[in-house]
Amino acid sequence: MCPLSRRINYLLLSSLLGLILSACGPSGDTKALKQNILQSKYNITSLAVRPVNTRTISPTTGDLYFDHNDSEQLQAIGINDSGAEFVLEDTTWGMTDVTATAGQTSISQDGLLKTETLAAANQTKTITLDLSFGTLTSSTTVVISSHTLTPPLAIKLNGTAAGASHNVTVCDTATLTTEGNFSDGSTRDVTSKIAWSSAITDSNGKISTSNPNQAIFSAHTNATYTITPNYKGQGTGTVDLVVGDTGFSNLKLDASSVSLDIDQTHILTATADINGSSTNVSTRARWVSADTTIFSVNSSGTITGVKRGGPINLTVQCGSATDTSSVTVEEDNIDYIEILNSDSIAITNLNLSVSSTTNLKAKLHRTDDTSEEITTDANTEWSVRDLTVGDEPVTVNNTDNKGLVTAVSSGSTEIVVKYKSKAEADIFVTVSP
Amino acid sequence: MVFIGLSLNLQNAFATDWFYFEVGASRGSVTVLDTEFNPVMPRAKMGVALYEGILLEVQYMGGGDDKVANTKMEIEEVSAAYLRLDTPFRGSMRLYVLLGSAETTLNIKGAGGTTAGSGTYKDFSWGVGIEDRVWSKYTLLTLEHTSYYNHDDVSIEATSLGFKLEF
Repeated sequence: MCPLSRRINYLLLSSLLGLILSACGPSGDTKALKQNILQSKYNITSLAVRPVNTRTISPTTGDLYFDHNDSEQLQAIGINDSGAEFVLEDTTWGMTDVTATAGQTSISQDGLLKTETLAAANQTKTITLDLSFGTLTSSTTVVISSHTLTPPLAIKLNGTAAGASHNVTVCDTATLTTEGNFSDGSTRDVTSKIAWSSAITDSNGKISTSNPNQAIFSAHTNATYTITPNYKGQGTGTVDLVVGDTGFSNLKLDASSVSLDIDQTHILTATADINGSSTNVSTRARWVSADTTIFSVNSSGTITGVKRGGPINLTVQCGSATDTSSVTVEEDNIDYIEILNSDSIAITNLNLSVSSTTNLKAKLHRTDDTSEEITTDANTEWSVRDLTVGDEPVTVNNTDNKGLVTAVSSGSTEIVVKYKSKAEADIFVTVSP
Repeated sequence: MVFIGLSLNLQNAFATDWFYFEVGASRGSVTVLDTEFNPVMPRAKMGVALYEGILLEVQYMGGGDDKVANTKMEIEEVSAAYLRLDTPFRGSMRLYVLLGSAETTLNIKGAGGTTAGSGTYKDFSWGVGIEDRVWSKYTLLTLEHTSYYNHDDVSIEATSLGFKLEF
């Protein structure tokens, strides 16, 4: 092959490779493929549309009601011939505006419905949501409503209509939901539309809304908490929750003392008997550090070492019940440790005769040039290196008389001392007959 | 321009007596989400040398299906074009790599025809293979693994055995 022909080949090769790679981006409707596979795999025979948040309305019409100028996450549900339900992803959403006016309501392919703003109060607008999945389709009538709340909001406590005042055990929880009467005569669950963070003003109590369909109240201090949910500025409701010790007993921490280094964290757990049931109250109780310059603690019992010091009291509190743990923070500035003989002289070798004993010591040196003896410290571990076949010629006490070495037989080995698994020293030991 | 160049090159390849044809069978692996189908289907491929160790190859296979639970997946056809890079023979064997593009048409049917769908999927495609001379200088057995599509929880692959004739 001549050089010119070779150049042409390389040129053609490069062109061809570029042509192939330029056409190699993935294409194809995998969504439809996945829909068909899942439809067939789960025998799905019909579809339904549901809002993620509770949007019950009475009297029931069979349609979905949503506020105007709002957004709602919808779920596509697949139902098989046995009635089992599956939450479907990769569905295809569409929408038909069946009214004469131009609609601005939209639905994304993730099922997020954004409703338009109606021109005036007490209006409705009807649209049809089209859902398709595989070969299945469904249409759902959605009513967009600008009907307004007729105050006050009705509050339910643990599923029951609340009166003006209710007793709640300290560090226990109470589930709150809200309903409102609207100007079209309907009653709707509006819990997911309440701004619960502003419904309580006393910081000793709190409301959690990790599930938007219910608000969970708890308090660690005995007091009366006034809860005032507000629905979009259209109206409020009120209930007083009277928190007290009744039904609460046996508050306990899982550790009476904790030792940790600077910047190290440790999680403590608080439990109590609430109305006869043992309950983890760590996220509901009040946590107090007696000296926040030594250690801090957050609202769920995680403590963090700040500077060397202690022991300092950590108190957990629910109403009038308390429990404490002592926290010691140690400075994690270990430089090295060394082994000393009974005369407190640093050594690297030790000679013993069989049956003799001696007391070794360990000394910790820190990077700030301070030092301390740690022979019997709880974090100090003494051991004999496993160097020989069979028993080692010495033993070292690591329990009630730490550092005591006993020569058992002739031979040589090493004695090791470790501190917090962060520093280690050893000496060579020879035992003669 | 490219096509003119290719035709010139084909002439050049024929001039070196380097053209091949292969027939065989493939076991496909079509994975959609966590469901895998393994249709078995015939496959044919042919190629020409562009230069020593560098070839142009086209493949075609289809007509295989598999059923998992109540879902039937059919590979209607797979067509692909590759640049093929061969290593020199070591003894009677050599390795090769395929780089190119593939287009796959799939059909899906549920039990009793409750569902039906089809789609065409095109993606960058690659493959690796090994071939062994048997019987004569011009006949080889090949074993190849090829990826035709891999995107968005859908992958299409195949492992193939073939008998190859070189001219």
